[in-house]
Amino acid sequence: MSQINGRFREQEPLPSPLVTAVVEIPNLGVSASVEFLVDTGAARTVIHPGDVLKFGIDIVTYAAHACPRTFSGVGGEASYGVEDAILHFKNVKANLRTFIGPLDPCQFDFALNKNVPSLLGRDFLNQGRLIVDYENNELSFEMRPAI
Amino acid sequence: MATEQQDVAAVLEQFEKDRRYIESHWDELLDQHLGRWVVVYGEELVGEGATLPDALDEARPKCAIENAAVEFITDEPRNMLL
Repeated sequence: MSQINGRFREQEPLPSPLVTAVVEIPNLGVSASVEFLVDTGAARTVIHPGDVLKFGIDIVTYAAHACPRTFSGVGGEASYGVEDAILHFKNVKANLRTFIGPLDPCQFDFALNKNVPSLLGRDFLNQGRLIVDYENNELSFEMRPAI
Repeated sequence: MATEQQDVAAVLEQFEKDRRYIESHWDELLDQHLGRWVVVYGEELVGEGATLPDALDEARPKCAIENAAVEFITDEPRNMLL
């Protein structure tokens, strides 16, 4: 079985589509449970500050050694560290390059204070078939079989 | 550290219960922890603080914080453009 099931967070004005995974980052020797916002507007899968702290990552120390990459968004540009990760869903395991940050402490604190969620982006979502059907309370993703 | 896939289902099941706990107890959390971070594990509040590091420090002796649910309790609607 290669299907991932998510849910909608109902307490928001416009309910958010969410999926959970245990994210393992072998290079840093850490893993943590993460609730991702399914975001077809995000090109990349991003681990944002609330979850970065759960991994036990100190952003200042990490930024000094990270391989940074800059992305643009509605809030401007931000740099993120690039890490190979393993995403463990209940029925699916996937290798994925993830992005940790923002690396700038001011942007990190801002995103933390705004409780910005981690994002599951198109780098993952384009590997299969995503159904977002709020009316029928269905959020599912089926991985494309490896060739 | 390698995560065993057979353990993942149990970890995620608990994590999802803890996420739902926050949502189902939202009004209570608003009354008692407005403007603060909370940490929930095993469907219990195990930490809270003005900052997330403070809340995690309080929770650390009581649970595996890497698998806990964390949330900033606010009465402002979450309307984000990401």
